[in-house]
Amino acid sequence: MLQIQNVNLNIGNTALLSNINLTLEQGKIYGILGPNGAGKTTLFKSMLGLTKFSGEILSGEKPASNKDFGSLIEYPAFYPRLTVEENLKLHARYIGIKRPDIDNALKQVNLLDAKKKLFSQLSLGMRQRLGIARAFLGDVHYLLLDEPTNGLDPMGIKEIRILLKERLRSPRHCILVSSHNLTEIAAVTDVLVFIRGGQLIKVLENNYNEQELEALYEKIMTSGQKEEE
Amino acid sequence: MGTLIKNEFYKLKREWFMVFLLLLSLLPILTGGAGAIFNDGIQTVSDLFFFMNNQFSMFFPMVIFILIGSLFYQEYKNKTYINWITYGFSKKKLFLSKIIVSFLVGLSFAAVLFLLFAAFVVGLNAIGRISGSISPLLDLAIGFGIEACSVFFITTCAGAIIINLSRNIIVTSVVGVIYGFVSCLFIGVKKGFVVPGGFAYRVSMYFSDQSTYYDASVSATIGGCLSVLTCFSVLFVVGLMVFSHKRKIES
Repeated sequence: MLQIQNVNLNIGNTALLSNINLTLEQGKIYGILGPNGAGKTTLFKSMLGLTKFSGEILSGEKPASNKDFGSLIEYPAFYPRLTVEENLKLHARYIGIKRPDIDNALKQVNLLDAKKKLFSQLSLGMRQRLGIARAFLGDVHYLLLDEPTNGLDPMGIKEIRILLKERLRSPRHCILVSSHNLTEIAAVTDVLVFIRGGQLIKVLENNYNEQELEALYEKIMTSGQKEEE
Repeated sequence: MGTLIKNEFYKLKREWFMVFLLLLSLLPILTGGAGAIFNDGIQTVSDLFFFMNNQFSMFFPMVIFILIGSLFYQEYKNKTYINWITYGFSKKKLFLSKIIVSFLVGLSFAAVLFLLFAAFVVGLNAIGRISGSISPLLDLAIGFGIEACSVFFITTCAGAIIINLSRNIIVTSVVGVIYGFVSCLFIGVKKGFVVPGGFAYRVSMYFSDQSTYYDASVSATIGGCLSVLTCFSVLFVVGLMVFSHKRKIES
């Protein structure tokens, strides 16, 4: 269980994150929703220890460590002159896996055939899927996927949706997905987390279809009342 | 640390900038070779070393600046910086791993350059283009090694500061070029030993021709060594602080 307790982050007089409290459970997929600049990426970065936030982020009873997280933040960043396989091997070496099951990881994301391709030769969709494969490699408990469908065509978006919903969901993992794409969020997530202006506005079980979620999103984002269920 | 160093070498696979830098670092022997063939003034091993070392003292700092700059720039350009710093290793270790790899690569370049120089000397001696014994080569190697190490440590730390402040390889390369030129300006100056590059050059030349060393040899040697150690210590600490400084939001 990941517990985010009283997390605040200010830059000058601007509050980027304001008193965030959230408890996240394994086995669930959380959709983080909010407009640009709401604080979604900043919250993810804080979980990874990349910001000077105040407050606590606990995994179980202990402060969360980088090793608890797999992440795809902002962009699937890899070394372009290394192959798909070499990039994953490099990642495995950094996180201390001696015999990584690269083939299986690539199979999960339909990239096994591209194993020997240079990263620079991959399409954006393939890069996103490789980013997801990397995030899942190793013994991670929490997966942070920041806009994983960004820039993808409809087929690419569908692939990511199937990947998350049918292949990567597991009782071991707690997955957080941030997205502007309400269709995707409605289809994939169990819990909806609404953020605006660095504040957590609402947390809801996802029992909504796309149209309902669209209406709800508009209502929540325009009302601005902080509430938690 | 071993894993980090191995990983840094792994990242250099198929990187063309390494070939470019190797060629750049070999320029002194190419120009020195051309000089030896076309310039009648070059008649001994010392003459050739003088010619080559002049070029080396200018080019090597540039190569090292671009080398350390490229090693860090890889992370910024590929946007892998965020991943790299979230693997759970301290930033101090990450910084050191880049410095050590740069050291090993830089010194390999210098070693290749000297080996080529030695081969060239042997070749020219065999065809009678230069006269005298080739036995000073070992002494020259010692002097050249001291020069390469002194220049390396200081320029690497300086280059690391520039790349991590600017995150721009062009800026880092330009500063490297300026550094190389400015450093050369102090080679012939009486008190030039206060500038590490100038001092390193004169030490290297001492092993070729003792008369080229400073007149006040003892004070110059002490002053030069202190200058190298002080500059290295200060630049290393500043470089480490610049890199390790945690921003409000890392990006």
